[in-house]
Amino acid sequence: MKFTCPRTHLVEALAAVSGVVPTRGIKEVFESVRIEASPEGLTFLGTDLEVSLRFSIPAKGTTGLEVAESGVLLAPARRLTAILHELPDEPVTMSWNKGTCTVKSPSGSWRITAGDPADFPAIDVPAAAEGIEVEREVLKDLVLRTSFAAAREKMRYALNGILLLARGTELQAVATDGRRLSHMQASCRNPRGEQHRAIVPTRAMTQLVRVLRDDDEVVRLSFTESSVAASTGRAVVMARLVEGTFPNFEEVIPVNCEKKARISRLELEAGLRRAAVLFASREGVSGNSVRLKFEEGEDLVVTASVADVGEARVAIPCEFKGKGEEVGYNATFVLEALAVAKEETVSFEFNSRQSPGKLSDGSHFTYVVMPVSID
Amino acid sequence: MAQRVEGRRVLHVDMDAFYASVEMLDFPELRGKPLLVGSDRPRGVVAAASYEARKFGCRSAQPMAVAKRHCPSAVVVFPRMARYQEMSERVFAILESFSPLVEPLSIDEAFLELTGTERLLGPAPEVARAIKDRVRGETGLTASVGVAPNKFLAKIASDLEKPDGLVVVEEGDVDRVLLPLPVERLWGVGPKTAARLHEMGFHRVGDLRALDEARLRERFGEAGAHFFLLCRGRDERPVVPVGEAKSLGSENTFEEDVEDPAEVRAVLLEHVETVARRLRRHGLRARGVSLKIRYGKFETITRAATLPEGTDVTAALWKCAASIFDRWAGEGFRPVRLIGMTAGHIETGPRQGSLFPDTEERRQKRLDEALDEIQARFGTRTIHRGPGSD
Repeated sequence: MKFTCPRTHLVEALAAVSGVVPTRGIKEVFESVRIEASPEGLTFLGTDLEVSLRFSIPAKGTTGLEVAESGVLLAPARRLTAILHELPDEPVTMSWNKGTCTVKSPSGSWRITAGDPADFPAIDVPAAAEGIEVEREVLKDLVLRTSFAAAREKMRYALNGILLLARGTELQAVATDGRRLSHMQASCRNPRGEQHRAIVPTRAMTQLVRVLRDDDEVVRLSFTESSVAASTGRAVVMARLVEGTFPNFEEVIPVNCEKKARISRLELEAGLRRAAVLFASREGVSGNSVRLKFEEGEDLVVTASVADVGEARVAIPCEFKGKGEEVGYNATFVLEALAVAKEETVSFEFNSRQSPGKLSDGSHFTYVVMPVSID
Repeated sequence: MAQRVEGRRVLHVDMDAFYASVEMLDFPELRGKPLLVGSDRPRGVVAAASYEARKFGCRSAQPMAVAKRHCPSAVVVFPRMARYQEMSERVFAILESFSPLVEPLSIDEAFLELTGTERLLGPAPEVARAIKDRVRGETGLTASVGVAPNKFLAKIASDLEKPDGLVVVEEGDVDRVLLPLPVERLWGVGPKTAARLHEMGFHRVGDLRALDEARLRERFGEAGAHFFLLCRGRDERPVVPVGEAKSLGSENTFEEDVEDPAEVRAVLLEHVETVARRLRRHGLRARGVSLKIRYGKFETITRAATLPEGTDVTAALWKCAASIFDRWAGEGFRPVRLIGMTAGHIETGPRQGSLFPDTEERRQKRLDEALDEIQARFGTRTIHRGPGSD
């Protein structure tokens, strides 16, 4: 196996797959990237067994890629990246022979110990014909506006992923960590009228968004019982679906609340930030909760107090309807939602200080947050 | 470090021969007899000695064999930790009814900050008297109390007239009380430092007054500066209540290495129950769980894990502690001398609500509430989780 390729393309392909290559593998082979050369071009493959990413450089066109000999090689991902970083933009030739990967360019040559491609885990790439199609910007939006609310801890099974629901041309994405929930609604192309309900690892979605490029117009999502593949022109992200039951999210999204407020998104964000200055370097719920006092005909008053630090009080213009109430929230949870909300005005509604609050911005984005208890 | 406060009032409450007194309370036939609490097996040590036994030279931490040589007529009873813990909790409940600033030192000792409570509670010596009366009335046990302008002097004072003492040390009494004491009584002077001080010719606290701060620092570093203040009766450490503590733990040392993992695990469960109960009583939640395990030749390890969110639910803490223990035991169990559990990353204040209430957690919370109530009414010995709790 032997090929020559301009450095820039190699750097790009390597950066794309490195996102899923584990930094500390159980076996060295997992810390490698698999590169396959054929007359059609190169395909790079990285995996952590849960999420895999395949990235292609075609031989056709203006890539400047020349495949001298078809075949497969493994290269340690981090070492290869480091070498390429030290090179100027020039053609790089790579080859593999019995456990040694050779990298050659006008500036130097390296012989690196590498694993055997036969030991690399087999990853099934599903046929691209089926599935639903989502526009690039729509998909980016879905991921950006839900992924932050997914549980980070592995132990909260079924919550460390984004639930994708496809029915007809409607696509919903939901993420929750059990304390807040983010919901997005979008449309998709669904020529075969497929119906899907799948929990996709958050990382698969964020990696996908990372490799999307302006000329990728649509992303095709193909599902099997246990896996998902998201393909763009050059990249395919494959992931095992998260097992388990996603909680019944529809039940916790409040509708027709008794108390409703309309607030400028930017003013609410600025106000919460001002109150939250007290929390710098504080951890946990107690060090991060603010009280929001709603009263008809009055400004929304945000207060925060931290023992041994001090107190803050910020007033924010607000249109409120309903019986006045003071509710506590984790400031970060509200700020994270405001960061991805879009319209100028957001609405916030709730029924009581113990029940979930709903923030929406009129652009298919709905966010539900549970209060913290206040006395 | 707290600022120096004029008219500061600190109490040190120390239960008299606590374990032995509890035994005499429960078993009247032991009263008036020299009593040793501890294991009578080889290598056993004395956990507590009654005042009658102390007359013979018995004291706690002494090898049981030595104590019995001093006092062959002594009655030896095996410690009942759960019962002592239960009595301790009753005593602490009394202390906490006087001041929120109660700092436990051990199962039977605590500091109370009374500064500024005179208007509310009356003069500190009267509070001390009231505490002693209530402890005796509600538990049948006696406590010795020291009243002083700081923690160090309060601890010295409580020891001056044991048992059943009440000693008030005022600023003007400091020299009279402090100077004749052996240097070992200073906070931070252990056997090694004591030996060095003796070599230098310093035997009594008063002897140290001859040295200036720079000299003491030169020889003992930071500790020297601390000795300089202590030998003048000065100590500005604040009383830190458990609610502000960074961690809360419970541990025990076995008389002999325990070779059965199941037995160690069962004792660990009791520690978890104790810690969880204390968290709940103080309205705290813990996000960190760490185990302390000592085995072999005093090799001690700690293993820790973090929970996704703070909890005071016994089952949640136990699940975490048990998995740490099982992993350690699985890697290669060795007979255990000491086992303990500490809850860390303590959280207070508002509690984050949950969108999807965990029915199992709610069930466990109700179970905790029920057990807490039973134990508050009838004692911690009455009811426990069984070994099949996980």
